[in-house]
Amino acid sequence: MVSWRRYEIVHDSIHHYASDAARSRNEVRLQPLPRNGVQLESFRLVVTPAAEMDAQVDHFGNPMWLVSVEAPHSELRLTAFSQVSILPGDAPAGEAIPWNPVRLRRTPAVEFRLPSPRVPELAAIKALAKDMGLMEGDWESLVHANRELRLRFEYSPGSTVVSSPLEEILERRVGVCQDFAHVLIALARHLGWPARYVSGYLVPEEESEGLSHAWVEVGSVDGRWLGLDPTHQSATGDWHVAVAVGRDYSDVSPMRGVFVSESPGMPPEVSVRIAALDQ
Amino acid sequence: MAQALTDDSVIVPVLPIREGLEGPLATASAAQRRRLADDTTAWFARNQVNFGVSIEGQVVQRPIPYDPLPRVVDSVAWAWLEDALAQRVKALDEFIRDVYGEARILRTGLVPPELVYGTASWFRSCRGPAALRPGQICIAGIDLVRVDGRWLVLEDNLRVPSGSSYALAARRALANMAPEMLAGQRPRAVGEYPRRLLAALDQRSSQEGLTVLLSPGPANAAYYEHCELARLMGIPVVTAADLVASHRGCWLRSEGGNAPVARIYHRYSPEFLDPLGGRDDSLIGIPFLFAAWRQGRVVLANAPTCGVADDKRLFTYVPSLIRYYLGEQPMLEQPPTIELDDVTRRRAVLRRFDEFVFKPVNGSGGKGIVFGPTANDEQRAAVQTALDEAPGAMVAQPVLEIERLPCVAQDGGLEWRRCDLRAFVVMDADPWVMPGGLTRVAPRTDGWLVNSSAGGGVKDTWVES
Repeated sequence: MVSWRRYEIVHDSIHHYASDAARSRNEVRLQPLPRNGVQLESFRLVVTPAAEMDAQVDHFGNPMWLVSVEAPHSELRLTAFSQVSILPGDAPAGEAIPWNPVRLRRTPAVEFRLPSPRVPELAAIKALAKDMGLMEGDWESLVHANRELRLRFEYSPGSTVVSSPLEEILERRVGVCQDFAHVLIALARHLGWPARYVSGYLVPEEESEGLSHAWVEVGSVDGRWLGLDPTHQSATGDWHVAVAVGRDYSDVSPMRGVFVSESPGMPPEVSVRIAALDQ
Repeated sequence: MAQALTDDSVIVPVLPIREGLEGPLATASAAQRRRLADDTTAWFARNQVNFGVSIEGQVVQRPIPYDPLPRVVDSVAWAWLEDALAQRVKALDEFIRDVYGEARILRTGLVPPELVYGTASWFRSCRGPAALRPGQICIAGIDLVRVDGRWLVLEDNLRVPSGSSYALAARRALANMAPEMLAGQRPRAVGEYPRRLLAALDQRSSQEGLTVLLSPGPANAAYYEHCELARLMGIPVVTAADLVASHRGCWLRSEGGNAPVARIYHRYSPEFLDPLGGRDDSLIGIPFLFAAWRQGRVVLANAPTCGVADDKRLFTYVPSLIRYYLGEQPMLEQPPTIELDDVTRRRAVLRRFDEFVFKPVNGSGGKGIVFGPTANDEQRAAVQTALDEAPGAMVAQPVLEIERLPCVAQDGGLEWRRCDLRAFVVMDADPWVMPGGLTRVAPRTDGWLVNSSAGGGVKDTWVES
């Protein structure tokens, strides 16, 4: 018998302002997507100070919370409480079927084949694909690249920042999950595939700790999207809980905000806690 | 000069061409013409009919140059133009709503997907119910030129079409300084434009709330126009600091409490309207304005969606849009626009440099435009460099010998300068074309550019009644 696993995810972020913000407007993407065997049992977004909120859906189908704070505030705290249950083995698996390039150009999926703000067309990607012996429209090439990136790039937390451009990652050959995802997306697009960025969580297996994560999905002609996790050198599985999909990180950042203040903001304090719940 | 390659399927109208000089002042003496030119120029200065020109990085507001000899268009030609303009603007509006909805046209392959998904003029943040409503375009400014007696479209302006107030001033200057001229000819009146625009704004929302004109402020080149149109419509001019938005709507901030705003006639390039919906470096935006607009809580005119339809790379596909959405043959011709990202085509065009005009894809106001026939070595090199760096950054069009109209010279004699016509189409339930529009005049007899930011002037445009 297949059994559901249940988790509680608490994503906490505190945004400090050097001087009071008179008001702020924020787009928040922290609500898990019900898909691939993942069900969202409950979701609650707690904001301090008090805020007006509205749940909308963005262009990519991601839940997006609009958060407006009217009173002056020196910090904004967002805490997202999600409970998810996962039915193992319910995510698409297997091989993606390659596209006819002309047909792809007439399909909405072409949006994920074109260059995007964080994944521009680069000569260095062409060179990397050649060096790795990757072939256009060949699924095995993508699986190979997904396994190889960790051998060619050093995984090094803190080595890059959220805004590090792809050029820099390719030159320095270091990065974190976000950077590996961008490199794999660039390779996949170069080889003729639509490829998209997925942000979400990795829920804990056994005693390991859960964390925020990013991976890649590659579009197949039959409409399926197959997950590849270059950080873990494997296909995605029952441990991946998606929060948002987009062309690259710029479409899915957990919080985009504008505040009215004398001075600039500072990097937020973020913590993620994921706990297995009784079944 | 290269001939425009004409599309065989385009219906070509037979237009009556007026013989000889146009305009009633043609027979006046040089001294009379010079006096009228001086009087009307003084009227423009007195009424501060200004256009901001950038001089050494500073915007200097100065009266827009004015030539008092009107362009005359006969009523038959105009009636044809009205239909042709309405057709074009209707198809462009259909295109905007389609690419923010199901994007059916992309499945046909008629338009390359890069022109939607790959351009910064198509905002993912604008997807929503408001983007599907008819009338995304509230005002269109369509730039026309006449070549060998035929009207051609050179450009569609849908983001912030400007210039209507200068057309109104061009008429008022003559009405004030030479009323006898108008009394004799009785051209169709243009003065109902502000009322038409206000009605079109009202038609877009029945909600209670203010109608305002949102201006980037006094540093904008067309600030005169913002104030003048607002005055004529009887609505306040506001800037970003006066407005606040949330997903529920938009308000005018005031000490006695915030007042709801239902309709905004904005004069922003749309990417600057909302830092969360457009460019995140916009310092003059109103956060969540797109969120309020998306849900129909506030009207934006023009809708921020319109930029996708006046991208210079889309221009070449507009005749296909007319056939696809309306099932009609395009009435207006247009010169071919040649994309230069293909290396063979680029080389072929650059070999015949003198026959083309080169335009930056994302430019406006004539900035960066290079005319092959008059380009110096430096300008040639600039085109070459720009194309080497980004082959898609410029497009080429064959140089057209566009119509020259008589203007008053320094000595009161006549000189012939190149002119275009910006026609204004207001989209209410039905399109309405201002009977006249803004005739723009090159600053010199050898000038090609008519843009106000390139020193161009204006003329009145008389449509015979």
